[in-house]
Amino acid sequence: MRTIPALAEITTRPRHLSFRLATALPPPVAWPADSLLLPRPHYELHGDALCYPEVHQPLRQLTASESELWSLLRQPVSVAAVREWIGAVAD
Amino acid sequence: MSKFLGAEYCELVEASFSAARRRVLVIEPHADDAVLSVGGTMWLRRHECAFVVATVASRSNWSRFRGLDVAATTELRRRESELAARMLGGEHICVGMTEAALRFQQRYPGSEWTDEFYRRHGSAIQASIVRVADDAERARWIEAMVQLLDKERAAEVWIPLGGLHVDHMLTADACFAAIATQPSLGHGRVLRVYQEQPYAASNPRHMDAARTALIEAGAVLEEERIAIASVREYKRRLVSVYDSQNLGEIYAVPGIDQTELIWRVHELPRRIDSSGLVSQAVTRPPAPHAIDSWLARNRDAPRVRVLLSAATGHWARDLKLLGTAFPRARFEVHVSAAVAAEVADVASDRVDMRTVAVGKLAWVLKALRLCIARPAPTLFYAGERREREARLLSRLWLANDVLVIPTMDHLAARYGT
Repeated sequence: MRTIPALAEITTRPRHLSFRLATALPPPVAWPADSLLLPRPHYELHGDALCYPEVHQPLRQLTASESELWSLLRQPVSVAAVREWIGAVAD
Repeated sequence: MSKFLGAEYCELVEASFSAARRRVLVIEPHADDAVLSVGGTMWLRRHECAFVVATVASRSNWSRFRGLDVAATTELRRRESELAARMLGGEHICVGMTEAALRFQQRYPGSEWTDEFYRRHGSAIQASIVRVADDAERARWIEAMVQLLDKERAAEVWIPLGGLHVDHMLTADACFAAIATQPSLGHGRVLRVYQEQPYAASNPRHMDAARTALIEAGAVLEEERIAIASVREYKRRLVSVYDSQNLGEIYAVPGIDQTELIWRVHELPRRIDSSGLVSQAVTRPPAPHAIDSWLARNRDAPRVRVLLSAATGHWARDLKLLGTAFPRARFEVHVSAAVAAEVADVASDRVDMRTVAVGKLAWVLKALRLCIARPAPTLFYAGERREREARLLSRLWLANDVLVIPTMDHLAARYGT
């Protein structure tokens, strides 16, 4: 049954990592130029690091081009537009 | 882009869909339920159907991220839902009702949803989400569904069957009651009911009871089984968007990525109980006469003993009901220390509370002591899982008139909520 986790689980597990559903969907072979890239709403940029809300342990240190891409993703952006801004390295 | 997609920082969404798609309103109790239950079907049909997913209890306090307040959690879940809907080429609507755990907290004026509040009331909150809602709450949800169905002119409406969670039962009850109240809301529309996951896997008996309740009330349903194995990775991806929830664990239930089940409604239920079509059916006590006769025999008792070895989830309402059922009684409430806060926090000059230490041994000792205590009509509530043990213990009290119930909703069902 779907329930609220026990208090012990809440207080002892590293909450930002627990229960996460990982997926195995591969990226497309050919990127459709008119498709949109939409950011997930869970991440915040602190410096050059992506973090979960209220959890300031970095999930990933972004490179310069990744930071640029993340900045573009603040609004829905097409694959074509990303390529235009970042260049061939975008894919 | 590949790295970001692989790490699930973003999603790739088709830019445009046909304007000729059929508009389908999918009503879900909480943000994620539609995708968990029919995400594969929606993905398969996204080019023929423009899905509008409406989250009823969209005001939420529940997230696996610590430190988010109600507003931040509600907004995060709204954005997750909006993204999932966009991936399906659809839209998302927040209906704005408040979810069960938060309603529980609101019963304590001046309180806030904090770790401390959860520490004090965790067991009662767990119990409260499987209790049936009261009529006033149901009326609010029915009104919300009337407004939603009136405003959203979709050609099809998909309704949840009503899983074992108060908000799920409320949503199903409210949808059917809204259409029964205003039949024009259903006219010219295809109505479908969908099986709810993970409830179908974890509580199949409850889901069968909900479906049977619909049929017994006159609904004519045609089953559609949708094989979704070919799109299971897409369903998984849709579900994973709701990353604020504990879905890694929930998504492990068998069959969730193989088949989805929908029923087309050919005839609507004709008889809608005011206590809720699904709620009323699933809380019907198996032996109502035993409860009725126990209540009648002891109505004028000056003292009633109430044993609570588990949290009831809605003690204030239960006490009010007991007060009505036994107008002259004072209540000697023996409550497990683990759930004593639920009783202690409801002030009443008719209650004499006695705490029992945590553990089976403490309850066995309590049972032995009660053998020699002054006899009194006794209500023993131990929850469904401990009902059998409670019945065994109650055999010790030969001089007492004992009623053992697995849920306080059985009592409420005999007195009305």
